[in-house]
Amino acid sequence: MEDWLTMALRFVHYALLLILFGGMAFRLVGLRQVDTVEISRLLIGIAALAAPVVTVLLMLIGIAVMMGQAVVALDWATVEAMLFTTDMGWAFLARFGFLIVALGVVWISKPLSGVAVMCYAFALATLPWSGHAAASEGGWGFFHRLNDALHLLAAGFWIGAILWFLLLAVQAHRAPQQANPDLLLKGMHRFAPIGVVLVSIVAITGIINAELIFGLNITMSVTEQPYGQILLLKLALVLLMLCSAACHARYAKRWTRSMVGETDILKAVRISLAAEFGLAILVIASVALLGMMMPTE
Amino acid sequence: MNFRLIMVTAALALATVSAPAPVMAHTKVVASTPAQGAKVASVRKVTITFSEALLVPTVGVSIVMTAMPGMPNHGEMQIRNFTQSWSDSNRKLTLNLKKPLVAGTYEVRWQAAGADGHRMKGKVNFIVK
Repeated sequence: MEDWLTMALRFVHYALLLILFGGMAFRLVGLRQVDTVEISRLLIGIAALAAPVVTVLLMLIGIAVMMGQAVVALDWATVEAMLFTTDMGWAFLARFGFLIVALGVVWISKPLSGVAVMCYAFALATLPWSGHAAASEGGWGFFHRLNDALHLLAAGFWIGAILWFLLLAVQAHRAPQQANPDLLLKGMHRFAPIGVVLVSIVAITGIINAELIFGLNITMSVTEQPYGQILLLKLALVLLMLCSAACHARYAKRWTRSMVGETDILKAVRISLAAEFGLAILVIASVALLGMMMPTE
Repeated sequence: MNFRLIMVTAALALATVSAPAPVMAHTKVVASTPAQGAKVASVRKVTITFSEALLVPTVGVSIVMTAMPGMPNHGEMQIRNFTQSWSDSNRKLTLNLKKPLVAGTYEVRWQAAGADGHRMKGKVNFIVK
């Protein structure tokens, strides 16, 4: 039961931080020239409020699991020792601070701002200070954590882009009189080279992570373990995401050459983007699960 | 620009081929004094070296006397008169006893979480003659 609760919270935690960072970053950097849908200020505010709450709950459950106690049995002295004497604790405090600042900016100032994007980027970058990357020691350990942070930031930006394009595609479907499919499809076409760079960063940092977590030389034996099988599933999901991305990149390219009609192309792009976003959610779930498993027995 | 970025990250990936890859496995004891299963004359200090740095606040350790010569029905007895200290970047735990252990069979039981947050437990057995 506790394992499932931890797994669910880890999934929500990753999803919130990746989408808050990626969604805001891509809106500010990648969609300046494109009319965007009005995202409810309340929805962003709720997500921004949920992020620090989930991060605190996850930390308390994590401490309880590490202590071999129930969460309700934790005393302040134990929590204090974990927070102020371990790297994991300091990373949590930094993350919590960034999320609180971002929450203030989102609620008081404006829901989409550069300051909030920076806060969510730093909050995301603190995650490798707990979990598998935290176990690497010395200089390579620091490199491992930075590499993992880069992996998360690139993945977050990628997911943020998919989310925005999907929202624009859905808007074009629901309110065709307000939407401008030309801007959406040309925006997607312009994003293609950035997408290639993001996928390259995710792939290379992912390979480095695998090398530093279990060593690529024992990949075959790792794939015989449940950890390796979930990792293979994650890779298969990412490959399917790439197939979806290739599909809508092709549609966008055909649109720019006026080779197809507007209705057909928008429907195809919408389905393809929804598939890619759904796959991204499954990838996040697999990441949440992998962090709770050991590569080797 | 994009090509250059890809080349730099590819070079970093290749660099890991020569990196000391830490093979992840569960936390375990890699050495101890007295050693696992040893018969020793006197013990005033017990040391346990783990395979990775541990999160010190999560560590629980106890010394239990499980048998005593000439007392076939001897139950488990906790030994409490020791202090703990850590060295080697939280890999090595030293238990300093205020008095040497008397003759008997002992079990040092530990449970702890490594820096990755995974909790493990184990024990080290030895006999004091």
